[in-house]
Amino acid sequence: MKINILTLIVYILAIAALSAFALIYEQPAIVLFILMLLVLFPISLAIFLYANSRFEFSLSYKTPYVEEPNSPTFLLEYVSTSRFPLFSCDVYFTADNRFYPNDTVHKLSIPLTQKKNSFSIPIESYDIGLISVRIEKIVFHDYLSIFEKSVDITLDASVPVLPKERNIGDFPPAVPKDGPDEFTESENIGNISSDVKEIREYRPGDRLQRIHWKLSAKLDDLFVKEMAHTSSLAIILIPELTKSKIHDTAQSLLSCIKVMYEKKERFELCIYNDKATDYKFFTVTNEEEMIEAMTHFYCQPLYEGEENALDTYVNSSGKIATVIHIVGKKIRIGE
Amino acid sequence: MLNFVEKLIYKKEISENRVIVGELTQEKKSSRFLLCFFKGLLIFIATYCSICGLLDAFEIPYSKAVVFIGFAIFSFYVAFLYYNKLVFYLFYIILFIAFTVELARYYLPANSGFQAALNIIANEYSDYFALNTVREAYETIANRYYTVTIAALFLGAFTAILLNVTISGYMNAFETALVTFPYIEIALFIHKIPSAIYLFGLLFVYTTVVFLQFSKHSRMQVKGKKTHEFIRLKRKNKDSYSYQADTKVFLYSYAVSFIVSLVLVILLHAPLNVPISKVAGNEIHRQTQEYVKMYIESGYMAFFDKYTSKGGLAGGRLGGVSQVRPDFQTDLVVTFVPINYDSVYLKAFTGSLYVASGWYKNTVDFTDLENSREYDFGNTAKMQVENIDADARFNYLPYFSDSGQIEYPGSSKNTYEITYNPVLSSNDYKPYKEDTLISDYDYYDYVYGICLEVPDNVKETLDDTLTQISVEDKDDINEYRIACARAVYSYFFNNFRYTMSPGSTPSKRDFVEYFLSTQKRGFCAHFASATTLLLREMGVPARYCEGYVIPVNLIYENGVLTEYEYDEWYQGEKAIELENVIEVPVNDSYAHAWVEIYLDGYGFVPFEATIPSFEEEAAAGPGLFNINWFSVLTNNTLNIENLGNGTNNETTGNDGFGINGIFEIFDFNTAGVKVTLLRILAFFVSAVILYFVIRFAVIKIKLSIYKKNNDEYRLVIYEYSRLSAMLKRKKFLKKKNPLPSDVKEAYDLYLAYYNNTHKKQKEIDTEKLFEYYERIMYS
Repeated sequence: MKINILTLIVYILAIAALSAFALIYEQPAIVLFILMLLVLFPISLAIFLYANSRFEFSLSYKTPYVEEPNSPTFLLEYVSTSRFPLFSCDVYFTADNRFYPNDTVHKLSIPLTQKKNSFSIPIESYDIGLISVRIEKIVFHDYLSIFEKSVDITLDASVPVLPKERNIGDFPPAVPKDGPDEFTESENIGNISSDVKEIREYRPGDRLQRIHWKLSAKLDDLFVKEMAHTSSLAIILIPELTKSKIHDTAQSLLSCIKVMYEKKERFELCIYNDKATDYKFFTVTNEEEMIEAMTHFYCQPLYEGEENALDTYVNSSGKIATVIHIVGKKIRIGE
Repeated sequence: MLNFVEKLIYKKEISENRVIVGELTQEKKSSRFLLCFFKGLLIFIATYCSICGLLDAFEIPYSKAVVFIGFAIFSFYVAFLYYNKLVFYLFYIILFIAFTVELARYYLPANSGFQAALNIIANEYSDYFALNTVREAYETIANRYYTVTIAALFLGAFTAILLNVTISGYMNAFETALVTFPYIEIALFIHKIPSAIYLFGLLFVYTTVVFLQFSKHSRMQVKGKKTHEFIRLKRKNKDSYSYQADTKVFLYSYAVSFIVSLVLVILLHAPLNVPISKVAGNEIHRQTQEYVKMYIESGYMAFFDKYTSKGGLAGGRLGGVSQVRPDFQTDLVVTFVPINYDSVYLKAFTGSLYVASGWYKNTVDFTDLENSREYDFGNTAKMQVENIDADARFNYLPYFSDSGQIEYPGSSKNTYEITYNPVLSSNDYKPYKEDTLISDYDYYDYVYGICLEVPDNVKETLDDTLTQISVEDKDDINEYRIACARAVYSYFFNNFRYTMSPGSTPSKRDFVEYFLSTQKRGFCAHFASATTLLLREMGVPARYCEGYVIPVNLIYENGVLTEYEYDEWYQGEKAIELENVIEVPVNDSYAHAWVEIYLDGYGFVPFEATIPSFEEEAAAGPGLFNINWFSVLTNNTLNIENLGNGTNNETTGNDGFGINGIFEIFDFNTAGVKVTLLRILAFFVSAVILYFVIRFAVIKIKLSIYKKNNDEYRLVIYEYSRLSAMLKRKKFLKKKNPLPSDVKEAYDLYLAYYNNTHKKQKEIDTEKLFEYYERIMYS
């Protein structure tokens, strides 16, 4: 617990001045005001000591993600178990976009007079990225602002700001040639599965080995077998975190992902970390997985180059698949 | 969402960090109505307890019900000004106008009420300090119950306005105490304790304000477009946001303060009347009391613009002094033997010729001739006068003495001795005595010519006045002359008032004529001059004198017994027990003017023309509330001269406060108020016009600077803001904080509407325009 020396000095000076006034001018009525100042001090301290540890804080967000130009809103809540309120407490927090780290500390001064209350902290965002709010410290004050207690706390919450989708045409386009068959895949992966997950209509680009000939003959149309593991290796999206093109890259990536998972395409997302020269794969089949993947994407450091992720993927003998390389608005398809 | 001005402030954050903290909100919002109400309650308690505490302590009569309701209305009115911006600006102007107009309307009762309260307080102070004189203010209306109520209402309104700033605006305990505590301190200073309820109220207010001040959640910005629920403060590396005012903080502060104050007041009520024992070496208290005494006796001007070394004598000049303000510094030290209870007059200046601006010496000096007159009352005395700070142009000589006989016992010319023949009583003038000097033709001409001269322009007033003065017939000429002087004195005693601050004579008016016909109050110079001219008009030779007077109380209170031999200083009869040579310090408050009337055989003998100051009004001064602050606005209708005593006579009965009386008491001249109102309106209209002109000029200058510096960002912000404002004005844009896309949509709608209704088409590519706007604004 700290003492606010300046306020204490002012308080003592006020008592001293009133005492001097009362003594010099022989006025007992002033004693009333002096006594009041003397009595307030222990009352304030007693309530403060009792109440300061009886508040619990939590931080959350209103929506798990937002689409630009909307901005995320965070909620700071407290629950009190104290019989006496505290008039003021300062919440110290930082708020930033992970792409543009910022250490500015914001002080939020709030009254703790309710049993339960919440405060909206809207963070106006001017770019896509992961918007994070971190609360690091809470300082409680007594009624006279003489005493204060600082409590270190770690509360954080993040909300990704997604770009608006753009029209990327018919996607994914036909794969230029047949990919490896199950056996080739299994050689690479070391895992083979012959379990058929589902049967669907043929689409241009499907491997001939996957055609369910019997069923196709019966129904007089081409049908394709979707295998449990092997089919997901067909397409890998590799976005580049190029600093100057990050907005367009994110927009292209999101558009690709949405189109593909809506079409129930099997694909993986390879997100590269330039600092660790490592990458991580994400399978996206629904919105939650998309948010998770985009959040991870937003957490990576930006760089200047335009092929860092692709080069690292190719050189590290990654999965054999159709690679879709995304840099800015360019979406290149290759092996 | 933050507005564009704020986004300009956060421009750096937007461009570098791409995020800023938006408008924070609380789920359980505080009600502005309740907050205004709580603040109004605080203002009301502070106003009521301070002013009514003062009135109560001095038992000043006023209507408690009217004051209570009035203060409540003022307090809540000013507190609710903070409700929102429209209310704030509109009703502040209304308040100002109403206050000014009402003050102009009720200037007289309000002023009279202030004076009444001040008089009562001054008398209490006078009793406390055992002062000889009191600066008593002039009350135009005698009904104190009514006037004090009116004055209290104005004072309450004024205090509530100040408290609204200290409580609603800043929530500052020190400032709040500064506004309210002086009222109570006026009573506490002389150990007059107001009722416990008032002390309790003030204690409660101060404690609550202390809590609220330190809670940091009590200030409430006037609600407007640019205000937020949280007060934002941007600093270099730390931005802070503080919740404005919280209703529950108010409630808890009220509760804690109420309980603590109540307990303290109940516990400590009894010892409050017991003075604390004196602190050793308490020079500050003594000095403060001296200042207070000065104020009580002479008003606040006693602290400024004092007479310096003139010894309080005007040397015959008249009418230029609005207020007598002695500095109470010793001018003369006089050593003599007192022989009776009469005042001792020390003459310095004799005025024989009267003109409008003052008295002048006669062109022929008859001093030597008059010195040769023999006075034989059987008493011979010696007086020593040491001139400390009196006007060095004059000698200060007692009656009757020969100015040619002045002796200087030491090397200093400032101390001199004079032998004189004092008169024991007025009976000494009774025996017939042949006037040997009057046979001198020139002196005869002086006495019965110059000393009977009256200016023509005053004659009419003098004659009018004399119609009200009746003189008892006397056979003896000297007795008749004395009877005339006494009749004049009696007239003044019954119809005029003594004041040390009568105000100066208007430049185009004669001093005596103005005093007799209009002013009817004044100090010694007024009474002496008027008496001299009235006596002259009655055929009694008279002249005007100035000097110092040593009253008997000064002899007893300040006289210092010395080791001088009594016989060397006085030989003759005495009518006083004291048989000592005494030394009296005479300060400039004893500077005086009186009249000399000519008695055959005795020459010019002194006559006290000034009425005493203890009757009705002693020594008024332009205290703080005695100044006609609104004279510029009200001099056409509300000056004392026009209302005169007629108003006074109509309202002498104190029959309680009647609300109808407010309108009936004055013959209110609405033309004056109309002029006042028009002036105020003209002032506001000019101020508004000036504001827009300056605003327009500033915008133009700023734009030219932006253009010069090629500051594309600010230019776009300006253009965009103007466009948004225009669309909002024309109701095409209805969102509170619109996004650029909303503005664009609204602009498209506007353009479509415009092109449909106007021949001249506007061809604007809004797509490109807003792309450009967004690129610049978010760059």
